[in-house]
Amino acid sequence: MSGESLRALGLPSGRDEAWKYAARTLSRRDWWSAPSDALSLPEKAAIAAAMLPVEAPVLVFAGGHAVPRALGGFGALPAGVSLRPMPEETVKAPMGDSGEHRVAAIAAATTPGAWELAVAANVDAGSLQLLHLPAQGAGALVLRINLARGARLQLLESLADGESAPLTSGASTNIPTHSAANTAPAMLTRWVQVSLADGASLTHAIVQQLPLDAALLEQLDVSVGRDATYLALPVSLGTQAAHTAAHLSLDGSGAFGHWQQFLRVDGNQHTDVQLTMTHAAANTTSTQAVRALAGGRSRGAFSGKVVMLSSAHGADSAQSIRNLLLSATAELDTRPQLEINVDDVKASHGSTTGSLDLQALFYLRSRGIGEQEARRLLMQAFAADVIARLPWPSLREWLATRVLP
Amino acid sequence: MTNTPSTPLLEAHDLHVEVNGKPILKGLSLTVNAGEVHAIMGPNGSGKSTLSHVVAGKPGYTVTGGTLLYRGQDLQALAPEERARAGIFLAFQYPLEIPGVNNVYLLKAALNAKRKHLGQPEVDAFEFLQLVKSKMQRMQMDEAFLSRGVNEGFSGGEKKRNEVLQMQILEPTLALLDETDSGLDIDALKVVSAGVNDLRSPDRAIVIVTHYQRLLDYIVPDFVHVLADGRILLSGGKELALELEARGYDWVRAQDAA
Repeated sequence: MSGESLRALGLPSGRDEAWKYAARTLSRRDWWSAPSDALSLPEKAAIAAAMLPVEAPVLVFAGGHAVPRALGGFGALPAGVSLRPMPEETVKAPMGDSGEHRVAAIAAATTPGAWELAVAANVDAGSLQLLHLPAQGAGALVLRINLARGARLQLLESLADGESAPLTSGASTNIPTHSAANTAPAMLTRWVQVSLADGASLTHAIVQQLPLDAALLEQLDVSVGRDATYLALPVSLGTQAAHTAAHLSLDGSGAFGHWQQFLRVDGNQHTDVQLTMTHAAANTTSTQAVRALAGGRSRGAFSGKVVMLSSAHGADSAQSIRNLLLSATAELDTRPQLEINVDDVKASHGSTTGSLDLQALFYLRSRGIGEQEARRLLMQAFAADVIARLPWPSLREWLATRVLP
Repeated sequence: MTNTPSTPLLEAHDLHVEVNGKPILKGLSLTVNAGEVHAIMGPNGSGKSTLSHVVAGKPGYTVTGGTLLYRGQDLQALAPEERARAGIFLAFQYPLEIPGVNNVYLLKAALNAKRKHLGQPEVDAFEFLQLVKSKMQRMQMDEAFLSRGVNEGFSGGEKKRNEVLQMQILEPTLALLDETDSGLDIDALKVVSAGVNDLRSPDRAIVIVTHYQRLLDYIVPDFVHVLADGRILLSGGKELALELEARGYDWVRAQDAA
């Protein structure tokens, strides 16, 4: 598909409820340049640089292409885990004109190939890292994650460019490379579908540190089965503009759904997150926590909608949103929404917006802690409860040094 | 910096300080030498806390006149953290709760910042923990403290114990205690006072800001000053505190006017 026809597919206007807070710049022409048909492979050094410090097998995608193992892209998969291309006819975006599913439609129309990651029944697959590097022009990825009954996985998705890697001269000649010179600002479109069978458990961390001239469109559609647990841990640091639509549906009784996000925007970054948590079955439990930091002239928005259907007796939901403004020109918008169609449920929400506590800053400085370090500590503390959910200590430590804007 | 034995640790001369454009200290003069314990007393709103804050370098406290020297060096040139590393410690009247920053982490970072300033290597992790535990015992603090955030969920008394614990570990040259007795019951007051008395030394000075004479039964000062309307109106020995207790602050004002 050409860049023009890709762009013609278009993004909904701000009148569409789901796109009200999205960056208008997302329709910028240069982000929608045609994806290169050729598989443009990143250098091994770039892969290494983008990889997060977690002991786990790594799978690499570049602009939605899976990078073959021979080219350094694939580690060995854990036993009971498979990655397969999805037949083209099964890649269908949800129907309807609603802007809610527009990202899926764009991803389905433009992806060079869709992938299914599956974990077999009752397999505890441990940790797995998926590395997504942008390609030239627009790239799209369709990924389906299926956990069979009782399966467990700790999945770490890393969205990064690896450009900070030193360019290796005399690298292996059979690896096509892209140089910084022909790397256009890139748009990455991701559509990730997750299906958890009864009793399955997925911890799904998404660490997004794409370059500041890149854009991201992301849609997550998650279905959680009976007594299954889905824990989303998005850590959103990069891009110039990003839009995430997440639809979590607690479909089986006793299902758990958690969205624990750390979001940091600075400069002129603009990120918006539209989360819908649907309690469709009895005795389902959800939490939504967002810790957002904004500096410069940046903008962040979080819309968290909790829906309790008439079938959701005994459902329980708690939402906690905390915004920290680091400059007078930054903006963070929060929109909690509750839609309850059943009586015997619990739902709570709280949101706060403030700036760095100057009293606390002085307290730390009065103990000899330098101002920069004191600010870093306070920002870390602000995000601590969400960061603490990441199951990899090495990643938590790495993040501690990345929280400073 | 001159640092002969005769150089006072703290020297304020005709000090004027404004907070949010409002003059609070209006010509305060005070000299504190090593080895001395001073008590600053006075009615509410007299500027007692302002004095301790301006010495510690709290932002928003502007020196508009006079001089403020620490070991002969102009304090205004130093950021709060530099003052701390140089040996100034302020025990807060209302210690901050900072959930997410661990108590022990803060203590260690604070001690290492000071050691670095002095050209010393970082403290050994094991020895540090032993030190903290022994000081905690001295301050009768619960072991749970070790894993908690800074002052997180502490009672008023626990916060004050924590301030003195920090002081014991950082071993400041000039310790300022801002109403450390407020909110303490008699048992906690004894523990906190004992912790402060541990620090009395010929190389160190302690300045106690307090509203009540009670604390001075436990930490006996060498000098007592009465601060009112932004100035020191009267200075004397420890007996002055008792006289104040008996006669009230209006008596000092009347004396000053006379």
